[in-house]
Amino acid sequence: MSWFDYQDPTPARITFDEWDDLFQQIPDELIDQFHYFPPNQEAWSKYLFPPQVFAIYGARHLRRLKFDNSLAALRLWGFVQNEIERLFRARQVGKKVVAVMGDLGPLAVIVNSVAARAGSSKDGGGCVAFYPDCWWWTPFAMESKVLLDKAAELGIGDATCFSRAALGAFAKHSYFPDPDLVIAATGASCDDYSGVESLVAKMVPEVVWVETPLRRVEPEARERVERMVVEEYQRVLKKLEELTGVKVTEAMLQQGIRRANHLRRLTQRLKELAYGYGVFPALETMVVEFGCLHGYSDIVEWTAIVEHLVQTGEARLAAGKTVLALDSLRIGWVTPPADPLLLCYVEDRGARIVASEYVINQALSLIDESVPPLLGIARSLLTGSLIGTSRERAEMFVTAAQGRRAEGVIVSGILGGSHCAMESRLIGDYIKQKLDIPILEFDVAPPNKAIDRQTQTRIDAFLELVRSRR
Amino acid sequence: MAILDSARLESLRLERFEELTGLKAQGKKVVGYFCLYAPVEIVQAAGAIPVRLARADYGSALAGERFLRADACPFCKASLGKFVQDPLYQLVDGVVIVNTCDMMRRLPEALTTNFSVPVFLLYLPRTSELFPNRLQGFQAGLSDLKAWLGGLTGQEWQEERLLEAIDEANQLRRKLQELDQTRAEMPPKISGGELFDIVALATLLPPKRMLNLLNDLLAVLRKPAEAMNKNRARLLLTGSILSEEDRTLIEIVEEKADIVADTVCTGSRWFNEEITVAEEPFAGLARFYFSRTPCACRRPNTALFEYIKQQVAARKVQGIVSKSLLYCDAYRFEVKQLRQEVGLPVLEVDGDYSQVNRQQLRTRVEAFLEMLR
Ligand code: SF4
Ligand code: SF4
Repeated sequence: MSWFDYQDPTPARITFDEWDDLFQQIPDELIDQFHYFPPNQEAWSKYLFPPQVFAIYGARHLRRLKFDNSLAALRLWGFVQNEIERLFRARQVGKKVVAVMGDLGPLAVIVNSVAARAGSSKDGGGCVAFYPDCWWWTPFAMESKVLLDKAAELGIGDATCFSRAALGAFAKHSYFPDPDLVIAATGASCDDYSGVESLVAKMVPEVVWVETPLRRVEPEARERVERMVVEEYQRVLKKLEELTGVKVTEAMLQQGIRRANHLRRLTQRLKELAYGYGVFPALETMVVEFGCLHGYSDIVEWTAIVEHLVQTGEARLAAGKTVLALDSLRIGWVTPPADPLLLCYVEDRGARIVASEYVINQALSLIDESVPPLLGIARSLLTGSLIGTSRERAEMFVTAAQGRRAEGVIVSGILGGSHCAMESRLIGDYIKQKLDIPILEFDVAPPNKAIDRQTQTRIDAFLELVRSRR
Repeated sequence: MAILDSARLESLRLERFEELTGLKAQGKKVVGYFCLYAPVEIVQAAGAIPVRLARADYGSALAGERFLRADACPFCKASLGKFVQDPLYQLVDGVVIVNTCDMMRRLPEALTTNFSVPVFLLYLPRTSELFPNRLQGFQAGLSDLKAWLGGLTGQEWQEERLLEAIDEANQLRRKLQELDQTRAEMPPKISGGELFDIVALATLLPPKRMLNLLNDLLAVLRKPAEAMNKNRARLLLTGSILSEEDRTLIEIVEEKADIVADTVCTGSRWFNEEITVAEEPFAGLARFYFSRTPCACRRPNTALFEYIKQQVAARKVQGIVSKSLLYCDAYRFEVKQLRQEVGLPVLEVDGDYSQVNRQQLRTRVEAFLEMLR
């Protein structure tokens, strides 16, 4: 049986328990078809399980979320939740595990280009890129402060972004295998994370440091900055060649770029489907956006999943079926990643997200295929949200919000997140100036079972205000 | 015995302020800078007067909260507050900011949006390994700075002025090293507080005048000193930038111990190295600023730890006081590491500029000193 033959129910957001019931209706032959590290088809690499399975293994937060009820979305959740297992399995089947940190996207394109070539044999060989940065969500998913406490023990406490969970994960040695190589980018990006990298560097044998310079717009300076990044990447390539024994050719990089662009185009389309036509909820859309960073440690299977999602969305659009009412309040969200619970809550209150700025622009912009590969990748890095001024970041968002006629904007920050402290107000002021719509600013609370009452009340009042302006 | 009492210091500052006001009236440009990575020699060579803006206190930090969130770096908040409150800040015609940390990198926007002060943001690579591409990128930034300053002052660039400025700066750094060396003695001849005050003055006065003053101070120090207590604990101070107006911790510590070494950017790291001009001056400047003893925010920052260890050994340091400003990731994150790498007891103090916990701080310092006995 192929998934083409499976009939999704009427699109809806469903609860954790409802997924359990729905899962019973998915035929076993279908479940058997989905494996990570394709083309391998071994029994150990299946991942299509309902959220319950992952809740049992610790992702307790899932019990409080609402999910899209399509098979494609189930595939997404099973795959994303299975990343820890996948990374340990990568090591078992002989892949090199490469941690890329701090640049949110471009470095993984380089590593995955090597992986594509060296890993084309049935399963073993090659390398897998992953972002420890993404362990940020683990304390939320597990409703546990274990990783944050560990980070505090190592020197990074409360007044810091939740990305400190990555440090805890390195120290615990049980969330991913000890990487064969750590590549860490730092520069005009994020201090909180640079601090995490600095302490990680003291735990691992070696770190390849990569400079992320400030974006410059004047043509001469821009070229100079691009050249600087290209040379940083050349050093990375050399390290990867030493690690894998594979000579990295321009053709391999071009292939890697094409694949990254394919994924980025799919993601753009999925965002259009979700934000423009309400055929997907904000939560899955956010998870897909973040998938552009590294494909959740398996870019090939992840791309197939996003293809599946886009096809589902197109089919819904063609059939005129939406998940969220089109007349819901149209909200834009600017933040480091929004808390999944908050995204669900806002939708429960009759709103839908129509524009977002989740600080990962560099993972979403298309890489220029007409220039030498490393230059193309360098240019994509330099489109990053945090690499320029706060005003540029605000402008990117304002364009998106205007395009989707956002009626209100949420700017959520993190207490102690170094860029939040400096730019929340600059961004808020700029948006106010340009859009003249209500803005709600708050900090995302630490991992918790429920949204705190104060934030809830503020969101309710904000949505009321937006509604009253209709 | 204080070698420069507070009344004298204040009058020197005041005189300089009046002098700057006069020079400004004659068309001279005053350029402010915060960070020790700002190449003051280029500012001078461009015909402007560099003045370090390192005055921050609780009042100015509160004033800065009009423009930034409460959880922004207290130094950055205070710097904005000073543009509202401090006549010296209001004198500046332009500011050079180096992107040392996230907060600093975003200060230009806050400054231009709220005060319309022209700002040049100099990009210093955050990675500290000296690779040619990084150095070239930084050097190109120095050339951009030169052009920006030219636009500000309207003066022709004169290479000799740059060489002269480098020479003066080197002389000043050497003299300060000599002065600092007296802290190595047992007992030290000057206190940590005095050294910090003198460094602050050196960033305000013209180099020649400062050199003369330093010569006078050194002459005083060469005379036999009154007997000082040899038994006080010898400490090293490290951490975030220490503002000129934030002396609480030093005062409390030095009631009972001596700060004989430091790695603070408003202290010994301001003068501990010199520029070599064996090559083209801009190349020499780029190399010098790129590879100064790194701020904790650079990656890797191993050389900072090396500097600390070397100071500890050379000055017979018995304990370390680490002061981080609230929300200063660069320094706060490294304290545990410091403990492990240096192997000495570390007193970790963090805070903003508020005075409310002064008594509590004294108790902590005393307990720490007790432990060192
Ligand atoms: S959310 Fe912001 S502060 Fe946190 S790791 Fe990302 S960029 Fe850094
Ligand atoms: S004190 Fe820390 S946060 Fe503040 S400007 Fe300096 S390095 Fe940045």
